Amino acid sequence: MNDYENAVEIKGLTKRYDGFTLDNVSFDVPKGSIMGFIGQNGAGKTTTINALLNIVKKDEGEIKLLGLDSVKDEFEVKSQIAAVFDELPFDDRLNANDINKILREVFEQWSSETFFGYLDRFSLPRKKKFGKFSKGMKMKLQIASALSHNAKLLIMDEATTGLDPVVRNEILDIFLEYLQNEEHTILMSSHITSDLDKVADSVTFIDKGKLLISGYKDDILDSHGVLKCTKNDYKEIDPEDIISARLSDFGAEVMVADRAECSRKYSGAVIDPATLEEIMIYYVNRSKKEWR
Amino acid sequence: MKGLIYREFHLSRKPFIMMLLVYVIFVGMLSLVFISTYAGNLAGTEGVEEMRSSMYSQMYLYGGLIALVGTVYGHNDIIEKDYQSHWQLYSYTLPMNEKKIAASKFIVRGAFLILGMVLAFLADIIFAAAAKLPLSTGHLKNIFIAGMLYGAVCFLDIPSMLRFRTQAKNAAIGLAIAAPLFAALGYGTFKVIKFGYAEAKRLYPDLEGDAGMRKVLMPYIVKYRDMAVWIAPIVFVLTVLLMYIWAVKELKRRRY
Amino acid sequence: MDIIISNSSGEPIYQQISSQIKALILNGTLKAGDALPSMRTLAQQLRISVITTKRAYEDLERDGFIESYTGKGSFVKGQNTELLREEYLRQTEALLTQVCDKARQCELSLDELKEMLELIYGGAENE
Repeated sequence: MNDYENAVEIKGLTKRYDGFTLDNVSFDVPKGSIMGFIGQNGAGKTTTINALLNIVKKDEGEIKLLGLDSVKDEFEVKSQIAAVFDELPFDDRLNANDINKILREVFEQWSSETFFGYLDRFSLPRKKKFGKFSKGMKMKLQIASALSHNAKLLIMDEATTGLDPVVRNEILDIFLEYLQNEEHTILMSSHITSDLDKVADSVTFIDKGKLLISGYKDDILDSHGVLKCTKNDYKEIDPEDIISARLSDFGAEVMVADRAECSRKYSGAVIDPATLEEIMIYYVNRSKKEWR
Repeated sequence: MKGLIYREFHLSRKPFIMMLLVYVIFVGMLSLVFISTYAGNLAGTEGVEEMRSSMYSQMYLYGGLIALVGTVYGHNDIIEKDYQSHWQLYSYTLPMNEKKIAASKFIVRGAFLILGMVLAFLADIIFAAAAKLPLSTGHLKNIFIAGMLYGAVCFLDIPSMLRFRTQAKNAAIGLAIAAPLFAALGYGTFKVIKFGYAEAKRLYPDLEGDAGMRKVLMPYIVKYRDMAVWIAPIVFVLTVLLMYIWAVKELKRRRY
Repeated sequence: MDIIISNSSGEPIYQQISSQIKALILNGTLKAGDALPSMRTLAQQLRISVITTKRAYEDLERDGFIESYTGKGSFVKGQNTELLREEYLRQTEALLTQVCDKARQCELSLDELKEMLELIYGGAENE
């Protein structure tokens, strides 16, 4: 057994494509926690996850999963992790029984009992071909198979995107249940941040291939804020405090990284707590400084 | 690896069963035709003996074609479908190394190929029995060579599809490479036939039409065919080995 | 044990949790030795981050209201009487301040107030 503090450790991950570079990304996911990996489409989330899973070859950097090197100890790593993608990667002509027959030969720790247990719990038919499954059913099936071989790390790439809120909620509950075991960790990428606003322990923001922020969600939400003021007052604000500002005909909304400090400095201004989505939006626009 | 093999067999089963049906109907019906040439409607009609032997010398080709091409057919599009369904992507997250992934594909395709060859042989044996003619070893040799060559192409298809991902692209590139080869082959055949006619004129001036050409060329054809019986399997085995190495390399390249 | 969290109150969630648990301890709903739900269970049920519940429990432990043992969980600490008393004193003071404000509003004199107090306090004792 391997002892480790962080289920995922990424140092200096770089991957170059034509027209896009994942540039020197580093962050950790502590064991027993759930990290939300947030960014726009094309920001580099999938590339990062693909690099973690060794689906693409990284150009530079070091990746450790469950304390093991993701390349050198690939085999051992993969027996203990489960990947969930935004689309069901099983052929449409197969059904759940087939998947059980296939994966029980692939994973040493596969438990048919657990798998069928989840199928029953999700009310998924065993003999129906996947081509006839709805999107929600397909995702539940993927999750059922991800949770049936005692994986210690769940890596999910946009798993909840495209699902209706009711199904998303059900799935989030399953994740929280999974995390009741302290040895389990979840890394999930999403651009639907409302799920993560509540449930994530830590978040990492990525934009255009670069890391923006990474840290405890509570800290990030507690420290950031949206300062609302008049256009005139806006001119008085120290540019150092501003991440970016959205100007309208009726005033300015400014994302600040230190809510407490700013409420002292600019007393009288309204500073609202920010959601992860707002943080993402304002950070993405940070190069523009002012935008509409 | 067992799981992967099960998966590929399971996905290829429908076209295989269809082909089996076609094969059974084809072989069955032709056998009945053969039998009817001496025990049924056609018995005693003029030229029926020649018809029977000429049928026997041709029909085994069709039976062989159905068997060989039909058995592997269901497995042909598996790689394209794997890419489309993202299974290929998913398989990289499994505790499975590239050697095993490649091996599973080779094993499945190899199994289909062997089955195809067995069925092709069987067709010829059944026809010989139905036609009450001696089993032609020439036929069996031809089937064997065809199987080896077709098999080599089938195995070439595996790493090629891994590389090019869609059958359209794969076919286009295959044709681009094969076209000059076929052109050369066609030209060569043309030259050989021309030579045959020339020689026939010289050696057998009284034989009409292409009978003389055939007489000239036949010994050569048989000679080279018999050589091919030994060469073809060697080519086949070498191809399989090289293709396996390429397939593993291709999987390791992780082009995503 | 009921815990109600408001996402829009502006007060950090961990603080809401620790003050509610404190209140439950102070009003006797949670007694010394009672086991608190594990941080993870609480997080799952409330659908919040484990880090948040951890922080709340750490605060409670720091303020002496609970004790956490790895592997066993968190329990309400005995010997709270000092803190309890302090807390009640604080609350009484706050209420008295309100009473005095009201008294001034309706122009009640201090002596009249004292009379009222003795009546009520004495009456309560006889009950």
